[in-house]
Amino acid sequence: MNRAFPRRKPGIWTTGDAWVWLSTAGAVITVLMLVGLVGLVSYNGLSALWPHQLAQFELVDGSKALGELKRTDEDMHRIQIKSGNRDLYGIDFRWIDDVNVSNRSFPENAWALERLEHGHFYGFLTNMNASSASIDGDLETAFAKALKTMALKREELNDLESELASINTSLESLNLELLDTVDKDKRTRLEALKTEREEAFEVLRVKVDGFRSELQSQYVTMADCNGRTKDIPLFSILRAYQPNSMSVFSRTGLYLSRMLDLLTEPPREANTEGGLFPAIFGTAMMVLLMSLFTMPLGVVAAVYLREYAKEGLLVRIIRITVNNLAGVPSIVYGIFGLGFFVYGIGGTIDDWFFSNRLPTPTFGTGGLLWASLTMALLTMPVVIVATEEGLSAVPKGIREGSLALGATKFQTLMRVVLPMSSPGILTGLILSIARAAGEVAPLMLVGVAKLAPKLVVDQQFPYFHPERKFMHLGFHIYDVGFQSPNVEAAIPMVFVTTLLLLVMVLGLSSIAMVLRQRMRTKYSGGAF
Amino acid sequence: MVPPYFVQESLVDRKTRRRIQIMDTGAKWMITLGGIAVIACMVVMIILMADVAWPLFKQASATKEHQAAFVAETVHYSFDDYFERAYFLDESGLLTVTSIPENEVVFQRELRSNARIMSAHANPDHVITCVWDDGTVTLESIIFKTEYDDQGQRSTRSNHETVRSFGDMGTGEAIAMVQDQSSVVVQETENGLAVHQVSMTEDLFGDIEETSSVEDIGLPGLIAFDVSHDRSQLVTAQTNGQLTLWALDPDEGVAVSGSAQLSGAIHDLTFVYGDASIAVADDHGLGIWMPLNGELLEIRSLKGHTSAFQKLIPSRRDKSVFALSSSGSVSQIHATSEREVLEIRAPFPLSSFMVNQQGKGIMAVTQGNQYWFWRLDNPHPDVSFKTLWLPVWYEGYPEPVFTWQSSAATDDFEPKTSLMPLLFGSLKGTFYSMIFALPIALLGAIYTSYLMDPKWKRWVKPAVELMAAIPTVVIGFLAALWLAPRLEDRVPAVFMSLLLVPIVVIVGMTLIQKWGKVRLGREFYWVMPLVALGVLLSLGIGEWFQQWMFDGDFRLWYFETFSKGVDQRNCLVIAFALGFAVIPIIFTISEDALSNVPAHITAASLALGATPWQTLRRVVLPIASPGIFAAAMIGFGRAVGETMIVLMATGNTPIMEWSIFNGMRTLSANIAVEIPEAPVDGSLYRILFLTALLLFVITFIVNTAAEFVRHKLSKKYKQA
Repeated sequence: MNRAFPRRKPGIWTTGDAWVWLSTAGAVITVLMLVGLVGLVSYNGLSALWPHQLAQFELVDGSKALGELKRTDEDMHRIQIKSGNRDLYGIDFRWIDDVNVSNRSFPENAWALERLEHGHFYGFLTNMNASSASIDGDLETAFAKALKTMALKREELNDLESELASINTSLESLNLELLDTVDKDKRTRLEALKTEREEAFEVLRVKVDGFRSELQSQYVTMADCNGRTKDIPLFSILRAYQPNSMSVFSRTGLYLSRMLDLLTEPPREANTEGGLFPAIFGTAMMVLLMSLFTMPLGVVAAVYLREYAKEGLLVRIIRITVNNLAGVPSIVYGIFGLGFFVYGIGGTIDDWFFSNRLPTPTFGTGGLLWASLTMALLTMPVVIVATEEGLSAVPKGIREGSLALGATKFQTLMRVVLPMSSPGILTGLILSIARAAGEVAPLMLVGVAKLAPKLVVDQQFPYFHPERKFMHLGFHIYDVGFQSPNVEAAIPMVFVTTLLLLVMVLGLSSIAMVLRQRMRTKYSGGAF
Repeated sequence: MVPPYFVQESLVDRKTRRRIQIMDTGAKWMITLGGIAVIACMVVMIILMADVAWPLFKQASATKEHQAAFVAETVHYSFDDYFERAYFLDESGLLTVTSIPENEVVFQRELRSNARIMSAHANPDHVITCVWDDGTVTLESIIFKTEYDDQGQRSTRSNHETVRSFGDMGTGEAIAMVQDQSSVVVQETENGLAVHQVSMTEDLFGDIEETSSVEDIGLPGLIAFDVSHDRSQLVTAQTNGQLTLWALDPDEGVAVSGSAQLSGAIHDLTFVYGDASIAVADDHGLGIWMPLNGELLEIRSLKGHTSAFQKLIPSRRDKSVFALSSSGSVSQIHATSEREVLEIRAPFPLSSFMVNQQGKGIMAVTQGNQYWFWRLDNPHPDVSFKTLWLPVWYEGYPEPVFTWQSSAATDDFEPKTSLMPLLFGSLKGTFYSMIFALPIALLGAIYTSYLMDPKWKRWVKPAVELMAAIPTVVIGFLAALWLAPRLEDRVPAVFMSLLLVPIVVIVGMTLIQKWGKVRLGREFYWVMPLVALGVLLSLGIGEWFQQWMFDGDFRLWYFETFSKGVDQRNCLVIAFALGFAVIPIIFTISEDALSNVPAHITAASLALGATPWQTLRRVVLPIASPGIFAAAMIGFGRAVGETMIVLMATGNTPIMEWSIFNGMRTLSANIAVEIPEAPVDGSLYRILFLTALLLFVITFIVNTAAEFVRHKLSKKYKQA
């Protein structure tokens, strides 16, 4: 390389080649970690819903085992299967030693049932008592038909039950009103209304109970691989399929329909089965409400700092403070939200407006509103910093042009500067949303729930209930993965949730980054 | 601000102009107000947290509620928790209950006729041990029944009941304790104490068997004695400074279970609530003693009080002891925190005092049979600087320790709220994660900023920024449930990879370079498979090493060698997971710092014949070093405050060990773990706010320092 000193070829440490390679390794490891994490979550999340084949093992001692293959342990020479049938076996998973297996097959007629409780059932169809539908010939067709009718009837029952629930809530609000009312006439009127509603409730309740027990009387008899029979009410079967005889297309169809359920259904069985709809909805509502607070306030603060405040020590201190607040641990915001919003403001609101419900707190406990406010505070620095960046990217000449044309400062701001810096503001908004969607620690203190019985938006007046607790995708991961009684069975569900959250957060962040990049290149060239 | 003289009158009339001007000024004020409000709101955060935490250190206060006179000399008196009823017992056995503010007699009863009370001792729950001059010892209970009427008005009814009467006793001072049929009476005799024990046990057939014993203990010069609430212990003090703890058992009798010799004269003693320790007042002050392996040890002491304490009364709610000093003032001293929480003085010296059940009120006698009542405000006597930051010798511990254990099943539990293990946990996790993250992030940033092909850099940089957006709950979940079980039986491989991956990369690249030139900026084409190879190799060799060195199970070997277990969720996992969260931050910020070094400087260095690495090492790195330092600081701040990862991937056990094979509990995770259990405005709640404030301050200082350094740096560039 260096002709002037040809005597000795310098070593790799002198030229720095070794360091270059090590630094390459640093970059490579970073990228591999990211790719690894995304790949791991994608693989596990996407495959969690896929209908897997059911393997049947004939064991040396004559018994059989049926289930989905989970993993093979090469060292110990054993296989783990998900045997399902929790109501029969008590456990979901089972290890089988290779030496004990005499035969392995994939029986075509094996059924997999998704049930309301006790997890999946894997086994064979033996008999059915469906009330009216006579079983002519083919048991399997009859079963499929019965399931279809049952699905319709289940919906009917759901409608009735929600009607029941709405009567119940109106009764509750009547009770609260009664507590407040002193006027005698009004009281008697309210009481009459109350008895009337109570009667209606009772009538409907009897009807619903009758309907439900009628539905529950129909059952199908299934046998597990060892011939143990179990009567399963048709009512509790959500989906039934024969995974070993399915084509790839029907598999894909099932996969897609499961994915749809995931996005639209509420969870079941302590959140380990079913859908994620309340969590998705809760996350979206929280983020939306948060944006309503954080956007205007953050933009105003940034406009003040960049356009109105006089550059000086104070502004520098404020700017450093804002930057620092972005680095304050999120749990600190959480505990602040708990002390200030929940117990401070919420407690006061309860004292003033909801004293008749005390000691049951209305606003004095964690809820959507407080969570959104806490998150707004937490993401405020993000919006401020991004907006400031956007404002500073607007060239001075443009402002001066506007002012020279006679516009006031405010007009310049509203008509010229803000529209031009909108990519920056948007970037801040999107980044804050991404941050809020993924942040869990503060939410645990100010209003997230493992299972929220009611959504924050429903058909009851006033239709939007910001005091209610809500579910959140990130907290769902923590809760199902760490607090559920059967963690191993829950892990696929956690991976699905993780994938969903990751797609959401990374998607939003990517959009923000693209926007920011565009903004930078747009103005970096010159005035226009 | 721009005078609209350019504007033609015909286009914008005067009215519109005025409107625009008003709009402009209004907007200016609104924006200024809004901006300042938003920023002030953030300052409020600090103030509020400090405000919640502050009462922990506030001195307690006492307010004088009432003053009342009572005619006769009393042998005993006390009052209820609501400051509504006081009662007095005089020598003749007349019990008088009065209402407090009005001082009217509401209940009166002669407990016994033809007998006089020699002495009285206060048991808990308004029960009095009375010794009568005819050799009878009785337990008299004063009952306050609280009732609520339809309007929710509270009224109190007073009554009295003789719980138990023991005949054929002496006339010395006595303490009697009763539960069901079993009882203990300890009475002072001429040369010591007489201990009467009766126990009733029901055998299998339902027959009740009575065991009773009377034992005399010789104790010359007895000064004071006390019996524990559970009737199993007796403590005595003699004039020669001898302090003795006795175990009481109806079957086994009385036996010494510990003793100590004090240098000064003992004035009084009492069991502290919970019966695990004893408060002893002597010439030097107040000492807290605890039995340990047959000895009595002074575990804590309060020295330096102006005058010696004469009389002690324990609180029945917490580990406080109330003491009357020889100068006539009453002090509250908390046994755990060693704080003299408050001192009450009256214009005249107090001659005796009583504490109500909740320990929130004091009634004391001063001259002329005047009774004074004070209401105490002492919400957090159990917290002091010492309990938070210094080792404390807790009840039942062999030595002073730092420990965090905030609650237990029983009421008389001594809360242990040292913040040291938590701070230690935070720093430990941060330390290990920084060891992992710093080299990777810095090397990566160096490569990406200077050496990588710009075509690829355009993708790598945003990818790493994206990595920073990954929710920590995702990282924590994968670390705890995916990584931890896999890492568990591959510990040697992990350590092996620290060594093997760099070696494989360097050796491999040297060989590849021998074979052909690697284009600058494209090294990663080759390094990527080499890193993968290094990882695979360390997995293989690590497994082989484990078989060879540790008999196939490192964890077992470690446990047998060091008799300490390897936790599944240990610091290796934390280093990786927390490192994952921190790497993108350090990477991005230091990459920015490196890229911002002006190009003419590097160009000059390269033109002088330096290799790219030499340029980096000698020119770019020194210039960018403040920025890199700032990156490390910000990464540190993030790691210290990270909550979800440590909450999920450590065992959350508050231990203080540097071992990488243990978990820990951090300040941040502690808040998440404990806050659901913390009653609002209780000591624990305020301590958690204090820890939040601490976290805030730590990260704020670290970030400000980093920001400051960065600011200096950017100024330097501008000059360059």
